[in-house]
Formats: sequence, C-alpha cells, structure tokens
Amino acid sequence: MYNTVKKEIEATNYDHIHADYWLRRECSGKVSAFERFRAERSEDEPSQILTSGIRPATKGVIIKLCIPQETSEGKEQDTLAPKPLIEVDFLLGFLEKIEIKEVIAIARLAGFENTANRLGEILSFQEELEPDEQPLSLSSLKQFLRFLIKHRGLWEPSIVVTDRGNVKAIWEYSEKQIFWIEFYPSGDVRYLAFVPNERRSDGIERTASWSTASDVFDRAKSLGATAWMVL
Amino acid sequence: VTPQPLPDEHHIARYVGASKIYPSFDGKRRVDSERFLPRADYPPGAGPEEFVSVDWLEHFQGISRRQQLDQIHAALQRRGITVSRKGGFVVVTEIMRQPWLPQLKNGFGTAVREDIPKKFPFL
Repeated sequence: MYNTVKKEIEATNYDHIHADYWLRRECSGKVSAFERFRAERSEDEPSQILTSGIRPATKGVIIKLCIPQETSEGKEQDTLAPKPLIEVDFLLGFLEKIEIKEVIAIARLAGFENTANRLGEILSFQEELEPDEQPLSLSSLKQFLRFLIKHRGLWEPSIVVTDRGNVKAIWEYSEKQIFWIEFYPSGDVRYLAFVPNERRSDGIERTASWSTASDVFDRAKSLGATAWMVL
Repeated sequence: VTPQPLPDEHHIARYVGASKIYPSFDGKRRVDSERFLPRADYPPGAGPEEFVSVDWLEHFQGISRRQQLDQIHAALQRRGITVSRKGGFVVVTEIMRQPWLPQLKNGFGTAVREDIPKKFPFL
C-alpha cells in the first residue's frame, strides 16, 4: 500500500493552473470539482486509481502510518512530524490571501469535513444569534487551519470561539485527557493540558502555558498529550 | 444596596451561546470555565467587561429547576438577549468551587439586573 500511496503523492505535482481551477470551483460552492479533477487525473494515470478517492488529510495519515513499517533501514521515524506534501504547501499558500468562508472551503478541501461544518455553524450562530459577541477572527482561524494541515495525523478537535474571537481547539478523550489550544492572530497560542498522573492525589496533572502555533505541537508531545490526539 | 453573598447551597446560571459550546467525549455538551470570567472586550470595542452577569436560580422560590430556568429565559428575552435552543444555561455547581480553579474566585464581580434584583460577590 505504501508504494501505491507514495506514487499518488508524487503524482500530485500537478501544475497550479489545474489546481487553481478546482480550488476556485470549490470556493464557489461547487464542491465536487475537486473530486472530478482527481478522477480525470486518475484516468490519465491508472496507477493512481486505488487511492484517488482518498482525501488529502486521510492520505497524509496513511503515509505517516505506513512509513515506520516500510522503511528498509528499520529506523524508527517520527510518525507525527509534518511531511512536505505539495498539497500542504499549496493550501497554506492560499491561506494568506483569503476570507473566512474561503478558509472553511480550504478546510473541507483538505479533508477536515467536521471542522468545516463546525466553522460554518459558528459563522451562522454568530450572524443570527450572537451579534453582540466578538466575531470570529480570520487570522486566528488561519493559524488554526495552518496547524491542522501541518499536523494531519491529529483527529479533528472540537471548536469553540473565545471571548476574544479566537479559535479554541479542544481534544478531549476523557476527564483526565484534555488538550486545548487557543490560537491568537499573532501566531501565539495559549494551551492547557490535562494528562493522567497516578502519583497525584486526583490522578491528573495540569499544565497551562503560552507558546506559538509552530511550537505547541512539540509541547503537547512532551506532555504526552499526543497519545490521544492522534487518529 | 450592600452586596450579600449567596448561601453555598444556592445556584447561579449563565446563558452561553452555541459558538461557545462543544460536544464532550461523553456526548454531553460542555463549556469551558472561561465563560465565567469577565470578557476581555465586551461589548466589542468597549474594553474589559466590568462584571460577569449571572442569574440567581433560588430567586424564584417553590418551583422546579426547569421552571426556574424558564423564568430566567423569559427575563433574558426581556433584556433583549437572543436565547437559542442551540445555546444553553450553565448552572454552577460545587465542582466550580474546587481550589484548583482560583481564577474563578478572583474573576467574579457582581451581577446587577433590574428584573432579578440581586447583587452578590460569588464565592
């Protein structure tokens, strides 16, 4: 499976004219354009048929899961580190110049269906039911999506909007296993971790601190929180 | 009016909008404790919120919890607040008073409402 998926990734080096075409179709609400583009490409390259239906985020997970088993050197590799996928760079580049609804389209395009649905809900709630609340910050949302795309192995978190309009992503597995990150527009983050520690009287170790969107994953990893944040 | 502390066995409730509620691992809807801290900028552009606005359930005597919340629901609507079924009321219970949440103690101010005339420092 690994070889097939690898070919699929290499074959995603399509030119940006095509990519831009289906992205614009996606942004304008024609959500099937991306799948059609993939299907058309698959017809040209039969070796990709097996994985053409796999959405990018899922595909990233498959690659990460496959690498440790398939490496001939037998080296233990970090399954959580972001991989240099062409689609990731492409999507991240687009994040620089788009608006909230387009960010949601990007999230859907990248395979984060639940996240995109929730963000759509939040926009709707804020417009209709919470007009006096701080609106969702576009910059914070971009920071969040950038984090999610770079760390595709994570399951999609629950999302709330803070009083500052920032996105707060919550990974909650049990009462003792919680990790949340509040993404600030500047790229700073605030995070809180609950991790099990049986030596404590209540069995929970709590850590809260400030970091950056690019470093917070390492903080989570060092605290052992990624054990339940990963799919 | 001199603020009076509420008895420990009494409860307060706060309406939380749908964008602040998330589904928890056990299927329940949850909000984080920051909903009980003064907001950093509220109303937007007006600077830090002066106090946390909450409602006192036991102000309505002799009725069930559901009916108390219905009364508060009606009071919120009279204040011009849009209350949605997708949002919800958070009722503060003992767990909020645990010592590892000291920010809650420091964060509480007073709540003043004309139709539910209670001012109190919480905790």
